[in-house]
Amino acid sequence: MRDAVIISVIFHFVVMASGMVALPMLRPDRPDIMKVIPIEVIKIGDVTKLRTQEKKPDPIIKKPNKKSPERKVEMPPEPPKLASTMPLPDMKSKPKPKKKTTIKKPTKVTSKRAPRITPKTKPRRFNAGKLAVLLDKREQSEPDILEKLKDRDYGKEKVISTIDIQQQTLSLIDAIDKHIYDNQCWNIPAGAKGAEGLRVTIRFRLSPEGELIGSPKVVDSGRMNSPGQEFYRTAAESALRAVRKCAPYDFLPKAQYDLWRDMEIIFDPEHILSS
Amino acid sequence: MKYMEIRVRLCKILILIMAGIAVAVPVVNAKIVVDVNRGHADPLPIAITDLIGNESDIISGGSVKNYGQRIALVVKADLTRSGLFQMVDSAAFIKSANPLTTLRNPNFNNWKAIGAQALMNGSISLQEDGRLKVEFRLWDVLGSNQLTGLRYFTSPKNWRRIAHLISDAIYKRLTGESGYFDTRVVYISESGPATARVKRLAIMDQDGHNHVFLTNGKNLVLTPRFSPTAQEITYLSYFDDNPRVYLYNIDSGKQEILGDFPGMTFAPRFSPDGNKVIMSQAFKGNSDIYVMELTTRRIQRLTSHTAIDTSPSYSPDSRYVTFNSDRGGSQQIYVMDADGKNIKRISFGKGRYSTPVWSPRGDLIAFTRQYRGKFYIGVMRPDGSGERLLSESYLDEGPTWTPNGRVIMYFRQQPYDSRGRGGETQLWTVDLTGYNERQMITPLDASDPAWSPLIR
Repeated sequence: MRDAVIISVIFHFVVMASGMVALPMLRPDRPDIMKVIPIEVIKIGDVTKLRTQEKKPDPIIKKPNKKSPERKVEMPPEPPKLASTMPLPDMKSKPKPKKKTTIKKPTKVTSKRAPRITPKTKPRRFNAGKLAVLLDKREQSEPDILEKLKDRDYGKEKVISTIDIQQQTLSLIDAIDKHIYDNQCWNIPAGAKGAEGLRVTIRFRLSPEGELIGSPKVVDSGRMNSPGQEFYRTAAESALRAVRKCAPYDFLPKAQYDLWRDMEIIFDPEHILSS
Repeated sequence: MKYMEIRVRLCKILILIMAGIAVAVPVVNAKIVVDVNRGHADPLPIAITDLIGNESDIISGGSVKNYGQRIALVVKADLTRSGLFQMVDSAAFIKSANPLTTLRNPNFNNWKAIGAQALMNGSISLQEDGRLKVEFRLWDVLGSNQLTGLRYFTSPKNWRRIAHLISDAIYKRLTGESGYFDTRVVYISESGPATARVKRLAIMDQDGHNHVFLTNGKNLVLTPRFSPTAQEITYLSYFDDNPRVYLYNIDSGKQEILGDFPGMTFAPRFSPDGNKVIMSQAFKGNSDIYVMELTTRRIQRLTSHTAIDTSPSYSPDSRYVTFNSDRGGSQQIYVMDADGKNIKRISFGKGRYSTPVWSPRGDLIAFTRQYRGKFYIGVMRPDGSGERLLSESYLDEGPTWTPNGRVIMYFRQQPYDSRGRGGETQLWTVDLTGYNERQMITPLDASDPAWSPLIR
């Protein structure tokens, strides 16, 4: 009897589990993407409160210094503003006596830069207000999404949070949208009748180098080939041309390849044609 | 105990399965979704190559190769005039050692390199029966695939029409709607001083070629309109000082009076099925709208008002009629059911609105607007919303639509100067964007154009 109950419970679980695999549409898409994709990234964390929280435990920083000094070499590219928010006194005292010449370089850089923005109070503890100010500054002086993506230092973040990935995804989306617009890849089917029904979704896969793998596909290809849907076909073909013309997407950070390997772009001319 | 062990093991297995699924599912579905809702409305870069033909085959008017070049030129001109295509300079074409081999297998990378997104190539040859065989293919350069390909057999004298048919096919495949290049325009050709103006009915291809005068100018002619189904024109002519609505068959050259109405009839226009003519009739100082069935010649009165009702035009589904009337105090545009009921005013802007014409697509009504001493050609939706003015000048009037509802033709009169010079009238076209405005060249002054349906 007990066996039967156990087998029954297992069977139910297996059915539920297979349902999750076979019917992914039952779950909301984006939250899942945010939660699970394993990513090692990124400098967006530089401006989030989460990151400063990660940096809090000093001992964790000390340990890698002892065991793997190479990692320290990667530190200098950090922006000066961030250096000022780090616990400077600790940084000065730790690396000097312990490490080799390779370790000195970063400390010099930080110590040179630090005095310019040295805070009046010792920032030993997390100061949410100042970080918020920093965050604002960053947003105002945001140079170029594509440049930022290229300049990223990918190897150091240790903790992945939902917000981090959300920000990365948003940055990628902005970058792709900007790339398509700036390179004039999408030529809108001007003057088409029924612009509100001409929303086209193109699905494609990219190589790590940003090249198209195979042909981009129109998601609603059935409608594309239906009689009486000539305007939709035209819109779909203009979207396909846009995807092809904009390739390669080599500006996308390789470290985030898992995020952008499979892509869907929705081309929606409604706002443009109705304005 | 055994049961306990089994349970624990099973639980562990279950947890492992669930954990595996939890990790695997999102990875399988991992994708980024980008919404793009801004773009550019630039003309599509297209390369049109000369049709490859044999130089040694001579027919009247030149070699077959020469005909191939001329057809390509006409196609280029058609597509350029539409404003939706930009010709890639043929000087940039990378010549192939053997062009015939590339007809069915173009080197797409070469065309990509010079910025072409579409490519037309083809060939022309002389058949044993003296006809020309013309074939072309349209390619998607970025997608590296053929979009369409057609073949025509025709007499050499029809080469220009073949070129327009090719333009139509390319236009339709790349924009999704029918072309309008294999069409004609009928209009009033004007000459002589203002006090003794000679007005003749004239017809030409939509690009101005093959121009022919249909009447000799003895009698004044006005408001020509094409039948949507046959090569027939209806127009108003003064014969013995009596204005009458006439039918003119282009193929046979036959002319007949449509009806002998009491009073004055004007502004005739065909219904979309070509079986009726809707018009204004002025009788005892009052002008109303009437419709006549062409087969039975039965007349039905649609409006009955003391105001001037004129310029009627059917919607493409024949369910509604738009017209202009001053029943509200100033000249405005109205829409009513095809039987004359449910009359509704749709124009409410400042100034006077006249000559409403329903688009063949049904989504817009073109009109002439007069405001503060200027004339405008504009469009609005049939409910009066979304008014947009496309042209502006001293005098723009009489809009007529291309059969695909993308372009409007109208006539423009130049202002007179202080010495009384000027006043020339010309035909102009503008597309729905309002940016692609072009003058049609005619031998003499021109007014009151009407665009034909596609020639069948």
